[in-house]
Amino acid sequence: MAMNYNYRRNVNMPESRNGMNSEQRKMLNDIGMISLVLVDMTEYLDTHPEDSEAIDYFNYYSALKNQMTKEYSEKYTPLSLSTVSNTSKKWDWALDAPPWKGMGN
Amino acid sequence: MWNYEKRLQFPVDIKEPNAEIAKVILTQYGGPNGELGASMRYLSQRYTMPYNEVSGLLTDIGTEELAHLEMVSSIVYQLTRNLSMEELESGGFAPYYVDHTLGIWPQAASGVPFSSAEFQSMGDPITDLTEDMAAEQKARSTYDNILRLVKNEDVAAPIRFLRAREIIHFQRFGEGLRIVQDNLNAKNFYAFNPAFDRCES
Repeated sequence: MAMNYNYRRNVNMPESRNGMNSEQRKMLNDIGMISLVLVDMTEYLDTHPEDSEAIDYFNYYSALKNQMTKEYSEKYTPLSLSTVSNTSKKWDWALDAPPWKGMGN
Repeated sequence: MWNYEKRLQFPVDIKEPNAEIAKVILTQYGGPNGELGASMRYLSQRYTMPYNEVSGLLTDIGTEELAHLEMVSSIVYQLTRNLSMEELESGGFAPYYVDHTLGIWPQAASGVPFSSAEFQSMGDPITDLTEDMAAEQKARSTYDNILRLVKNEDVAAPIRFLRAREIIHFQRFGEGLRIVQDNLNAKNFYAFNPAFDRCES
């Protein structure tokens, strides 16, 4: 292939996660917030391992996150390999845009 | 062993590229107080940490730092994608561009490459946790400096999130240090390195 010395780059390439509507974006943000609760509670529990009230709090949000990520996977695309839907005919895990592309504005 | 979640810990959606800001943010990927060093520091130190809850804390915070370096890298990526040659040159990005094009590479704002010389794994629980507390404050100061330089809300919002996490981690490492001290002789914490010396029983 001949080298193209014209360095103009295509600045109109779609760079965000294709077709993410406001409902999907909201659900992803909700999952993000619940996940932060879990990360924060995990680190708290590491240094307060006998705080049973905090363990109940963790368990509540952990179950909620499992339910929401499962629902997100069924509705849109998997966020983790453990929620890959086995009914899909194609490998959405690879085909969906990576998160660093942003959600689109 | 790790599992990947295909999402950022906090959303990064930057509308306008900006080479000047990208150069400054890049330091929190590979700079002296950056997230790569933070993650590698805690994930390296945990092996010789003798108390399970504290080595667990190093694992969990070291894991969260991986999510932070992904956020910082995403900010740099979105600030540099679609830059024109003119914007790239006027933003002072030519020296980085000539070595890496727009590839994301861990370096300090000054251009110094990432190095493990930026952190320590001392094999002494008091020393390591004291370094970890300082590291969280150094990163918090760096984010404060970034927030004085960067007024764009698309960039400032995720930076504020990262800054807040540094404060939480400082608190948790302080509690970790207290757990270590509670396991030692209160009359002389330094009589014995629980990661190296052995007790005669």
